[in-house]
Amino acid sequence: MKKVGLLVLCVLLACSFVFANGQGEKSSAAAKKPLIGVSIWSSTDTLGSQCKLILDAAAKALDVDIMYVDQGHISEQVTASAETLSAAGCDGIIICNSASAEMTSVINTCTENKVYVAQFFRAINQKDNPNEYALALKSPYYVGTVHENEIDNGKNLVKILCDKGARKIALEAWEAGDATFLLRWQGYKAGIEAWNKEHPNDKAVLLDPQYGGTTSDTGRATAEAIINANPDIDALIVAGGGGDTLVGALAAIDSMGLKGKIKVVSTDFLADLDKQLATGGMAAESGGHYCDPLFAFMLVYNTIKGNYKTSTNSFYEINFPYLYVSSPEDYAAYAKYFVDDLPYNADELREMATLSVEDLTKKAASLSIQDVQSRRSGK
Amino acid sequence: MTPPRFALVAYMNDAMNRFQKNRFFGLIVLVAMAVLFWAFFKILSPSNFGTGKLLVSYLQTSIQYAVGGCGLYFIVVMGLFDFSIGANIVLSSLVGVLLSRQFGYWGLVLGCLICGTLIGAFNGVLYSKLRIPSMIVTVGLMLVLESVANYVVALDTSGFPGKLTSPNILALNHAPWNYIVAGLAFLSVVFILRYTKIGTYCNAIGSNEYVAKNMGIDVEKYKFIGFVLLHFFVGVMALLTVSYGKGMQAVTGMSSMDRNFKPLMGTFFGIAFKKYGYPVTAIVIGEFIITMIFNGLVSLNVPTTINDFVTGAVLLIIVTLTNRGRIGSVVK
Repeated sequence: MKKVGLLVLCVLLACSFVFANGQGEKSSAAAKKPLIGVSIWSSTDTLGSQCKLILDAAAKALDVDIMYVDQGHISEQVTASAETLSAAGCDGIIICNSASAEMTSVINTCTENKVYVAQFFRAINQKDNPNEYALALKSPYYVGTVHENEIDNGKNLVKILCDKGARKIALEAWEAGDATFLLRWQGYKAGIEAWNKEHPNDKAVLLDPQYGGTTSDTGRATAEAIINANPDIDALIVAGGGGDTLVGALAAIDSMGLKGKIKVVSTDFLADLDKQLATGGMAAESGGHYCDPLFAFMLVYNTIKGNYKTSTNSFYEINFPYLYVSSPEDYAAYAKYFVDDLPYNADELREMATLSVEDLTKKAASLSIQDVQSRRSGK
Repeated sequence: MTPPRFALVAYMNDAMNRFQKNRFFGLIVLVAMAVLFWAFFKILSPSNFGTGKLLVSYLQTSIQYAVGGCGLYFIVVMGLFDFSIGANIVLSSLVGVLLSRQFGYWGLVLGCLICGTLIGAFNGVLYSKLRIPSMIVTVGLMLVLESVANYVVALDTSGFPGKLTSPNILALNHAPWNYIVAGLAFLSVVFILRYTKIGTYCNAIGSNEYVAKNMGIDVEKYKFIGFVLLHFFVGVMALLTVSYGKGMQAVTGMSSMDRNFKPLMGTFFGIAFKKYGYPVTAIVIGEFIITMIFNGLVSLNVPTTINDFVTGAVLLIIVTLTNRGRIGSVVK
């Protein structure tokens, strides 16, 4: 009797394995959607929430599942986010890391777990981080990077300030050692150098950075400390930090009665930039780059689908342009196509997903207010 | 007959002992420390540090942390700790901002205070019911509150989630209203600590919980009250912080933890000067000193990373000098 019972149990077990396996394959083949993870500093701050909007729109248009992990640009959380997303079963990850050193762990995690990864807003500098760069080249799971030319961005902002008459410029950053800030800072210094070379009798000076974190209250406290310590500054660069640092810095300037007297430039558009430009709160701002992660998403999506091939000696690199806004009119045009609406609709997103890497690169480079204007007017 | 030299030493010792027993000794030490730090930076950076106007600016920055520090005092003095303060600040601020869209100042003020207090009551109940250390309970709650804050910010459809953009809602962003609110909070804490049995029992529980229990004090009840009071004042801090920065950002992954430590530094001052009977004054002056050091170092163009090092070191030195245990005493 026992033997018969055991036999029946074995048969049942074997059947369950066979049928469960078959059923699983069938259902997974039918329901399996690509899952792409997004490791971002914050999906709720000014810039982060805009990135989330366009990524959610792309995921919906392409029928992809998407998962966010906010890591606050804290190194150990950045590396942990890659592990979390890999463990969650992501087929690909797009990541905005803080320092390039974190990418060693991120790439190794993704390679071990066979998960494709692309960076957004960030690139590994071959000269400064040769080991990370070599690892990125070698890994077949490192798809590539989408990033802005931060040095040029820094130069342009300093030029705008100097053209507007600023000569003593203070600098408020968000986190010491952040890869993007270091590049922007390089650009600010290069901008000052270029101005002083061209105007030897009317030199400008850039103060050393102070770090105000990524919250508005710490941003305000640091801006107040900078202004108190340097009452003769005529401009303040808030290097970035997602927008909240700038909100705090503007509150500091406003409460000290210096609105319009201290020219403020920054990167990462504020939601009320039009009002700030109209009232003199801001002198200029570069930004509008929230579509950058969209292109990283497309790189990873197409690699998962097998449309883009990865290699062990190269990776894809897409340069993304900044938009510069220095008047309420500039902003009105920007708001119409980038704030009130998204610059790409569902059909355009689906079409973008069919492009080759070369065409995708061209598509990224061509994004501007005029580009969206022409697409919407059907030209 | 005592030689004149020894007589002088004995007289000096006696005078010092009498001075230390003076009821104003703690206050004098606190003010002397503030003056010392002010003088140090003033000598090094005379033109851009420590003028009357700038001192007012430093005070304005420090009062919000001092309010949180006063709240934290209620539980730290009982040997408890709370890691969910930062998350409460974030969530209460976002609830206040959300309600302010509909109800103006009433929404902002009541949203921050009621949300803060309810979180305190929730913390207190969980701590008493689960019977696990406060640190563990509050770390778990920090994660829960951060997550809830993200849902709350998603409800804000104003186009400026979490931001106070209307100038009609920013009275607490500057003097005199921020000072009035903070001043009322300080006076309330002084009143509770000095004139109610809550203050007496909190100190008694902190000194020796078992003795306090044997004396008939309902320890669980007063720990619960401690959590509620802490988070009520954290609600006040949230109100001042969100007004000061004109907004609040929802965070996840324990990022709100950073917000715990500035109020805590003030609380350390309060604990260190508790024996002199001026914990609230010590918290306010302590936070002012910390802000002054930060501004002093910025005026010397010292990078913020070194700034943090100096602030931490100064805090350790002050607490060590004022509150060091005797040789052989047990340090927990």
